[in-house]
Amino acid sequence: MKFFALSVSDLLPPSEAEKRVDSIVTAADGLRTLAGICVRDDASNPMKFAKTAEIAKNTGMTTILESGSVESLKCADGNSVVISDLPPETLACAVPRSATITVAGNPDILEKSVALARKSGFEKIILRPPTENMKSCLENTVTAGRLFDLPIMCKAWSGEYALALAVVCFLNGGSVAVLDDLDPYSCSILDSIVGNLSDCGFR
Amino acid sequence: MISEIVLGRGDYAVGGSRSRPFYGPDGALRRRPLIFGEISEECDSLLASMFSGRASDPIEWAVMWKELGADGICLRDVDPTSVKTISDKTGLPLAVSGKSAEADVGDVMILLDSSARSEHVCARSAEKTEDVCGADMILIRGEFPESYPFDLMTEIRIKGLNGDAGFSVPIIFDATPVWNSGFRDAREASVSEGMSALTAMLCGADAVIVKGPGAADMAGVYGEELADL
Repeated sequence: MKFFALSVSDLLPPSEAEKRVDSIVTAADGLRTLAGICVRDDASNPMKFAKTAEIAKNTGMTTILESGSVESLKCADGNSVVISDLPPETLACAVPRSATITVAGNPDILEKSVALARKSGFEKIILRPPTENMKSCLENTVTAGRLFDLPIMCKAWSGEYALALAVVCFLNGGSVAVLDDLDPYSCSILDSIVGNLSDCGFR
Repeated sequence: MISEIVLGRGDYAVGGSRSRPFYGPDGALRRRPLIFGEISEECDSLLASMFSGRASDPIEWAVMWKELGADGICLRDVDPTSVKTISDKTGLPLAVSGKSAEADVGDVMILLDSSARSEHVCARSAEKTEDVCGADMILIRGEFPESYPFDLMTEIRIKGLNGDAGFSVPIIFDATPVWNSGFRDAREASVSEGMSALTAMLCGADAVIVKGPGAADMAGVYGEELADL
């Protein structure tokens, strides 16, 4: 299933994090494909990260945990999607094998990275090739899609360019977009595009 | 390979693709789709507000499109005399429909669903692949985003790249039907129409027609980045 997610930072105090999460839930009301909340580890504090993750998990939406800290990622469970640059064998110390992990890198090194992830016991894998601009997003998503039969993720910031980058990703075979923020109107536009895409298209 | 057509006075070209859109490893052309700004008889107040009052006169409106960086002007039902003046003043390629198609213009125009005249380029509408009938260009319209013709455009482009008869011609996408849904403000209009144009380019459109300057700017900038210009 294709979906997109908006983010919440663990720098926010719990009351503000709840407001932010509530705003995402409200934005998702009536939309088919705004289905995830990404918790960003900005505070470098495992307790704050876990608290914010709990607020996100309570919504029932797909929880994506983004962190470079083994300690912070110990709050992951089997339903979590983990974004981290930690090697899979290190992730395996914190994250259940039943969680979904993302594997980052240029398409030419992804094969080795995917193999490492599988060797570490992770079966549910999402590819995360470099997508820092529309051109690299398009080319890396297409290339990764031709090499692997795995979902592909892009990450973007906020605003119209982020919306455009997500559109590029989905129209070229991507499955997940994680955005820092998107206004409600842009969310409805993206939802309509993603919700109407079929599996046919360029290969 | 998609045929390449020279427009206007010979200084604009459309088409020529030999691969999926913008994908460099397949040898995609470093050329962005052309952006045509629309001028029509009807102009609601929101649209008029985007043109600083110059939309009340089609010639001034066309000059403003040129100032905004449009690659061409789309004229719907504009008086043929004004069409000739617009062509002379802007020097931009024209895409014309209705009575605008009767204009006697020396440059190569795109005739949108109008009677074919050999000196010009004929674009015929297609709502399904069976409608593709050997015209010089294929014209596709789509309400965005609910009934957007992703699959149709992609299928037509793939058939064209595979050399299927009648399909190896440029696609011109009309993004303006998005305005039928109504917008609360200029930003909504720009985002909706801009994303419609971007999506069309990603599905293979070689040219897009837009109403709003915000959408034209977005399409131009994004097209340049994707074409690596």
